[in-house]
Amino acid sequence: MTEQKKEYIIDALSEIEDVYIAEAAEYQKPGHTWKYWREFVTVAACVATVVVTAAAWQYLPIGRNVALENATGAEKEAVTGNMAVPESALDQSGTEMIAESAAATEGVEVEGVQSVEKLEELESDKNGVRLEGAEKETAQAEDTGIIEGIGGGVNDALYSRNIVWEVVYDSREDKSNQAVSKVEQAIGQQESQIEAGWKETENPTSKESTSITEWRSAEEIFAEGRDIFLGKVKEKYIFRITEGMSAYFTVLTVEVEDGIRGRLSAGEECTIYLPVAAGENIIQDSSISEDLTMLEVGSRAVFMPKTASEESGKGKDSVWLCYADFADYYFSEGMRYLFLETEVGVSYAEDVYDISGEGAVTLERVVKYIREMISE
Amino acid sequence: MEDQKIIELFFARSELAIQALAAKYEKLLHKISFHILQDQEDVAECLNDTYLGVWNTIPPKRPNPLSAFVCKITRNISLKKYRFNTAYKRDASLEVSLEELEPCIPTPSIEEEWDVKELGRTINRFLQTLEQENRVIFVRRYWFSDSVGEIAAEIGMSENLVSVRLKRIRKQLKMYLEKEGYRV
Repeated sequence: MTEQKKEYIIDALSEIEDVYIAEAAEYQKPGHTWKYWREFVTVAACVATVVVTAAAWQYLPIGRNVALENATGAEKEAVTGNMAVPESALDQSGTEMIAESAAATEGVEVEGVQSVEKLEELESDKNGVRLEGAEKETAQAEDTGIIEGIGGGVNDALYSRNIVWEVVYDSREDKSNQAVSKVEQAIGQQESQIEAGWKETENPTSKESTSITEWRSAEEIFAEGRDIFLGKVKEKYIFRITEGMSAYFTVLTVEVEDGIRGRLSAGEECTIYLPVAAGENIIQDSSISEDLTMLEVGSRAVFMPKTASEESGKGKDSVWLCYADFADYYFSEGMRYLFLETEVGVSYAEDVYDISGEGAVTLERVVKYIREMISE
Repeated sequence: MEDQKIIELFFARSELAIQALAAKYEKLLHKISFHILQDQEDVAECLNDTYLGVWNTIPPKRPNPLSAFVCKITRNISLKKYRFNTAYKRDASLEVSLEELEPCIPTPSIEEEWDVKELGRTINRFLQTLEQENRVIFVRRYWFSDSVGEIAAEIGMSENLVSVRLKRIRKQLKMYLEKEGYRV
């Protein structure tokens, strides 16, 4: 940088208005008080644990046994007549269970957790199998009803292995505050995970990683044959993988406005997996995710995602996150396959695409350009 | 102490005015100056000059906001000293932040008349389009020359998040300037 330009930048920055300088000098993030009410949240979490434990207790056979111990003969008969109570719970084990229940009612968190685990065991035993991996996901999805809302056919196509996940953000309910701290914490985990050798691949059995940063010309990119469509983000979900690996990802529901190439046409909806998680005070991204983190509900863009199949995903050893379980399409990077409309124009890879014409580039011009390119 | 009371002390020509000003702003002013000069002695000199400048300006001026007023005085004095020093310190925070911003700012050429004040006004209009948090991050980084780590600690974000935001803001600035007719 020349001295002339340096002086020029310094002088231009010196023109920044007082109001912005004062704002920056005096700014304190509202969330800065977090450390003061963190204790309150901790206490609230403990209270919630106790409440959940108590609620779970109501449904446990052992919980009912406590009531039975105190019940009169007629009451006992009335209750046992309407429920399936293991004999062991009423006889030999009864005493021990009452002792456990007394410990649990002391309000000790550990006992509460143990009780919930017992509940899970009992439910698993009742079903005859303990759920593992994808089966466990299916069960969770059905329990919560989350999956049904993010796109069709997900429940029918579970290819992931040994992965358990949860939704931490749902744009329909805007649980942004809930997602913030969790996703913020994920940044370091994601980095360490990359170091640990997680690979993205087209083949779950392959250990080879496909190169997604190799330079390609516009012609080569369009020749990949990906579906291309202009659309608007309708819904956004952030997922957290709780078992198998530590990672967050996003699934978007996109309403198609113009199907430029491929199977989609205007009015249809599709879902897209993003390897990032971004929202208010949320970020998990990489050096190649670029504008993927800027996709929000209402964002308009031209999308060129890859079609998700049972072989597209990422994982290591026995753990496999299959994108097709969550979305119809996926992005590995946001540098060259997205043309995002922003307040100040369309953001895209200007070094790859030569969209000629005067004035600011619009999505309509992008669509025209792509149509010309793919028709050649 | 509230800014208004500090100003009243200056108007009353009370020596307590300098003490009150230093108590409230010295940490911030020291940081601004140090990011530019990277030398404690130079910084101390600049802070003394700042207090003297404020003493000589108030009254008659009654700056509002006071924070921006004193920050600007410190920055201007520090930049003057920075330019005076023949050996620029290439690792100064100012250098780093300018290098970062350089690709987003048009290069002045001989053929074209460059009005730096107009560019400044355009940057102000751009700042107006940003959300408050992003605006604060931008100003902290490129006006105050704060490091990414300092910004992160100050506003309660991770360094990674601040870096990503800055990258995104720079990209937006570049697009905004192009839209306004600048050739970046």
